[in-house]
Amino acid sequence: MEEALSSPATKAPSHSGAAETAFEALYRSSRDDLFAYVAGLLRDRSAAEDVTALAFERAYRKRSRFDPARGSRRAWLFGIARNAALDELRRRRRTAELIGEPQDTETAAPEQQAEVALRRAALRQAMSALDGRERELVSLKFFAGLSNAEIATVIGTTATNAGTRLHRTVEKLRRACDEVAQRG
Amino acid sequence: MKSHNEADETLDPEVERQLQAIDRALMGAEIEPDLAELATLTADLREQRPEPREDWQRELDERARAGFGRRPTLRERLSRIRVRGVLQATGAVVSVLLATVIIGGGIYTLSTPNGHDDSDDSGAATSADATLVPLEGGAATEGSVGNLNAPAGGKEAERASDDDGLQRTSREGAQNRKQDRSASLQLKTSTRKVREVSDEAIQITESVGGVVLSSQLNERGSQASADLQLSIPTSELDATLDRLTDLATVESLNEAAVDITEPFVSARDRLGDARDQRLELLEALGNATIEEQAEALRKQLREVRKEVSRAEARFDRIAQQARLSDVSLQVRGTDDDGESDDGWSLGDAIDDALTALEAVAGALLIILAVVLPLAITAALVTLIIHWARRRSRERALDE
Repeated sequence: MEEALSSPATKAPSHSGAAETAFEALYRSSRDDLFAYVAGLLRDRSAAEDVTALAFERAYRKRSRFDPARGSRRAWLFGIARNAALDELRRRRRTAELIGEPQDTETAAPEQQAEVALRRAALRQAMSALDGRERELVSLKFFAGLSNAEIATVIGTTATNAGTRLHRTVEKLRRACDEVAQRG
Repeated sequence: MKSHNEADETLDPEVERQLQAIDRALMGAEIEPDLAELATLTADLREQRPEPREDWQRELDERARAGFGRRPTLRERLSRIRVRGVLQATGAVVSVLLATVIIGGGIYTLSTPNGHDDSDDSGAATSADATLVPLEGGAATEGSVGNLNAPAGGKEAERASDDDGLQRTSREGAQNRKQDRSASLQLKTSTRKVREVSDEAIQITESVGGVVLSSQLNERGSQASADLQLSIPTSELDATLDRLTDLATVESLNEAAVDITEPFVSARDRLGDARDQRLELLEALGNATIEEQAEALRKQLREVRKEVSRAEARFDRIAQQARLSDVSLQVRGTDDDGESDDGWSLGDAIDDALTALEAVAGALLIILAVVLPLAITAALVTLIIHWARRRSRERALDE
């Protein structure tokens, strides 16, 4: 991916200089994170691909309008993606199941694997019980890896408020997981 | 853990510790043993992260290399037309149009004869000081409109007089009512231009079908003055006064109007009656068969003819009063350079500059008065639209 973008033969003409370079770096560092966030929000992989591409396209067109005073470039990009994703949600008026399957790459003992599988199934169940705002926070934090300040910029609140809401959501997940585990 | 309020500026320390632990766990760093459960949850959540397909990644990389340069579809282009942008553009266009109209109107007003800044006026007062006073000698009756006294007001005084209720009233009633109007005008110019101004005044009078009843020009050494008595068709009086006041600096302008509708109608009716009576007598005379009767009718007819003549004379006199207006014009020569028409002193320049600044400030004030509310409205509309769109989007998260 980095090679594809930085290859001299194929690189887009860098007429806009710094903004172009910064956008390339942003693209490289955010592509998968942005997809993960959008997919977590939409719970539809196919729609997430379209929305992510659209967000990058919009960001590319607006790259010269980025204002560092209003937050990091990454938060700016996620804000654009958020608007596109929410527009998509409004258009669709439906929610699809999250297609992103857990990818167990760990090589643990069979009994451990069973325990992990149970735990993650409980977590998926708990996540499905989250509302849209909570799911967005989880996506921004755990899928995209944004800082609390960046999350605050994206959702339009203060960092303190974003942290508080994130903590509540995590607590909710923990409780839900515990309940599922106890029932199991 | 302590409860906390979202509005609090600082996080609960325990909450902050847990959030920091999450951040460290996301980075793969070790966290405190008592938060191991949180680390596990973080890892499990991270495992839930959706990963993109490789072919989609390649496709997007290709587009990124091309600078996302594909031509947007019509639907996309239409969807990019934002209501906010349309409103802002509309607001800007309306503002510019209004400003253009206002500025254009202001410039037109400043450049028109009655709204101009003539050099003749440079030394004259810039504010109209017109006052309405009753007619003297009890001549002001119901319907008479008074006497406009505009002392030393220059052409501004004329403008004020034009705007005054006196002339409006007389103009509005001109169709049905008859007025005996008169005016007294005093002009000031340089001594050597008194004759020229007088000649031009006479030319103006004759050009409107008026008559110079008398003219007197006095020139003694460095002093000169002229007195003219003019008879101007009433229908041309206002226009003629406008032209006369353009000749030099106006020192004073007095206009008076007396309503003569009643005597005019009375004289007309009396004349009509007399003529009718004469016709009746003539008819009776034609039918008379007896000489004594005919003689008596002829005698009556002679008396009636005298009455018709008197009525005609009376009616003509009143009609002439209504048709013609007396204008007394006095032209005074002065050698005062500061107020002469030819000189343009520093004081004149300052006056002109102040006048220009006043006009500009006025125009700016008007523009501001129009543009500011529009801008505030546009800003409010923009904010409301922005807020509504944001809320609308956020609602998608609540569904």
